[in-house]
Amino acid sequence: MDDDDLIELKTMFLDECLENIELLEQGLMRMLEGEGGAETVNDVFRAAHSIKGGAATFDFIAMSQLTHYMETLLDEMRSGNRPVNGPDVDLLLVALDLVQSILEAARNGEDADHEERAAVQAQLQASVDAGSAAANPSNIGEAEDQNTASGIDGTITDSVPVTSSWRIGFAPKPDLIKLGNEPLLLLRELARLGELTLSVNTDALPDWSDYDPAQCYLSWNATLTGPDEQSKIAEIFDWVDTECDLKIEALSASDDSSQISSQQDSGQQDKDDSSASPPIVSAKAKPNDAKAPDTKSTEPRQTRNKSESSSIRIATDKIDQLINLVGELVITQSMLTRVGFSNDSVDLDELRERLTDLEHNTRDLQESVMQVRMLPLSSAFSRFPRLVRDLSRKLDKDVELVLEGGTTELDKTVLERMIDPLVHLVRNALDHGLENATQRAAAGKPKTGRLEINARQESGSIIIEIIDDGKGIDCDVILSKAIDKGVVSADETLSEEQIQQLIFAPGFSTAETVSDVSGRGVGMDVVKRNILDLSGRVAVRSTLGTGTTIKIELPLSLAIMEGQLVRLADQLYVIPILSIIETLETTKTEVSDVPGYGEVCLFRGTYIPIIRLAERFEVDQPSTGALIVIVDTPGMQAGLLVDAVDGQQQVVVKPLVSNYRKVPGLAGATIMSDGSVSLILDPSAIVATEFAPEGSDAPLIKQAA
Amino acid sequence: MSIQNTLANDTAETADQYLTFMLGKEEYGVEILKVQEIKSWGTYTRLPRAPEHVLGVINLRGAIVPIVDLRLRFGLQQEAHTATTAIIIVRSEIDDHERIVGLVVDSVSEVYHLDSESIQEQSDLAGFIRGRYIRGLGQIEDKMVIILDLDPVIESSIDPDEEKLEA
Repeated sequence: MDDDDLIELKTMFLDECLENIELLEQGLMRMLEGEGGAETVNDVFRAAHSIKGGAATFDFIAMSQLTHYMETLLDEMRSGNRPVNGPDVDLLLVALDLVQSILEAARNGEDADHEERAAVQAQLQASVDAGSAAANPSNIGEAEDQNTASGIDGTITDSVPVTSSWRIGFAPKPDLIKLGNEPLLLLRELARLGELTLSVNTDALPDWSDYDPAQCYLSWNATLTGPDEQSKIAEIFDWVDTECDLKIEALSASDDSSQISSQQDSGQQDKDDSSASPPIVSAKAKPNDAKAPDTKSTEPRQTRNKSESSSIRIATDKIDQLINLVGELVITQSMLTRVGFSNDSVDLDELRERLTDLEHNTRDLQESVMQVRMLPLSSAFSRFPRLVRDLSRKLDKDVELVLEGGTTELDKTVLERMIDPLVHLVRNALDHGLENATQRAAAGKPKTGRLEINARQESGSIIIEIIDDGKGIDCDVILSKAIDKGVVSADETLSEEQIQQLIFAPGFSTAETVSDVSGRGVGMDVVKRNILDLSGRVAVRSTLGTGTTIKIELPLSLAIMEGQLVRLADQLYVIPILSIIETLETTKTEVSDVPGYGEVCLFRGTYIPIIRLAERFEVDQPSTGALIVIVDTPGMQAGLLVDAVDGQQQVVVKPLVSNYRKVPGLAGATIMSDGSVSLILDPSAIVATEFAPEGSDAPLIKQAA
Repeated sequence: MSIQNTLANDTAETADQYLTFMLGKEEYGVEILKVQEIKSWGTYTRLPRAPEHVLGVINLRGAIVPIVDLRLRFGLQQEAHTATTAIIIVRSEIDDHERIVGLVVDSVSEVYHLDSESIQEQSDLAGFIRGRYIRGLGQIEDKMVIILDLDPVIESSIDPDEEKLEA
């Protein structure tokens, strides 16, 4: 296998890990809530097992060892040896966060280990030990023995003499062969590690008449001299460790006798660890020195958000649909060929009919192809139960989280880039929006706060709302802060709605005092910028005392956009519909030219700057500038002067950079129905380059040209 | 026309073949391997604040392709586009990324075979302001063809930092 293949496989594995981690987290959350039962525990176990197996294959030792400990604990739960309890699951969640950060490091090609790993592993091991001790008090001694007798885990500890001889008991379960494993290959691998003496135990062989060739009846005892680490041996059996009873013991002259005796009652021991959890045990595991890593329980989420997987998993029916549509397209094409090349004069009616078919096919195909990139929002929602649980615990608030519309689908890129803003909004709502139980009781509200995140599709865009029933936004506080910060001037009169939108203003959010008094505001401008970058928009609606709703509107996809066609001189341009607030007639609007400041117009009681697009774009044809299109951009609202508006339509965004270069003020280009090219405007960029980016000093000052 | 005018499908020889076109009175040549197709003159969409020689963009079967007026690019007088005006669609590797660009020329002439020996590498041309875009001069029968080095021409045409060619 060459390196490229290996890298590709590794990437695939890492992507798969992300999925498995998500599964694990969801499963663990269900376990915490006491839902799911045995099935959930099984799912979680399988996910951990997959990560472990893959990690070992690709040499991510840290990840494989850590998941191994998780797996051991989960296995106990799975086999019913221990009840599913809160502290254990919490511990697993902490370990999972660690796996996640190791994974992130691995994805970035960094050294994939973490200093906390030893502590977490020790805790997991302690939990396993404590569990088995509680279940069977007479085992305490044995558990301790195990701890001291096997110095493994990649390092040899002081208590165990360095050895390179091992006694290996390998007893496959009958199903091993059926599950696609070949014991001979494993033994051959083993022989490669060093000098191997092998004896086979045929006791289990049945009578010839009862013999089933698909079952494995043999077991082996081996003595191996060579490897200095047990993990090297265990690695070979990694893939089969649930399908066999495996014992690896260090062999040294001094305790040979005890080894033999333990070998003799191997039958007994085999029953003890009936599901054959692999015997890698950490001798370093001293529960007491284990530094509790709980302090970081909410922090690893930050790194998690960055995980944008480069591959996508697609439901088979979506692909089948594509194949069907392509099939239809091929049929239509051959029909068209027949019409076009027939010897008789062309039948215009039939030609038109076929062309209509073609149009339908193409549109269906386009929609289906877009569907391939669509992912359900639930994949983003899945992180919120954990986040809310951790945060509400930290903040000592009772919160009920309601998630709705998780099946709503969104473009993969949009979805991935929405995760950070959403997490931020949820944090904000919990931190600043919702009150604690005492405050809520005082306000006459139910003790448990309610946070709802819902999503739905509304004609070509996706609406996501984050609704809390907290204390709402205090307009007076916001306004006075805004005046303090110079975001608005003291003599401006603003409507309540306008004041609430101020929380998104840049320069407003940096002050920590804002979050102290009113809540909201920390990094809200970043949230808004992220959303505007995705050609979406965001609005806030709040009633003091009863709660706040943040409404996010996003395009279904980045590749297709709802566009407003506008005419400027002799060319058509496209403005993303979502950034347009309103269109005004220039003649019916109060437009004034403020010397040194440029032109402004009065819009909803506020003066906003006007940009003459024809001048800005250096169009040399005459332009009337009859209409003002008011657009919303991160910094401010502004009016773009165009000649006419010309209908709305969906446009496919094509980048200009692929053959040319980035053009300031343009988001790309699109091809119109007549085959001509129209340019798509980027209102944010147009406004940003026209005006000073900071609204704090003098928002209307025009930059020197 | 001549024995040097070989067939385009003679693949072993294509490396030494050049498509020539007219700009004013001069005949220019570009490696035929870089040429994707030739389009007749049509409508285009102007780009805001583009350098003068970048006329705009066209739709080439779904791809947005910029068109560069080589007359303006080489500092010649702009002429009205006529029936013979053509757009030569060329492919050029810039920063490990293939760009497709249309070159607007007065007219397309011929495909010639030119051995690399018969191209006079004009190292003394490098002193010229336009020298770095010219690989050399080819002699075909009794006329001269200016062989362009396409990549730097394309790169400087669409790179914002290298808009100005003229001194």
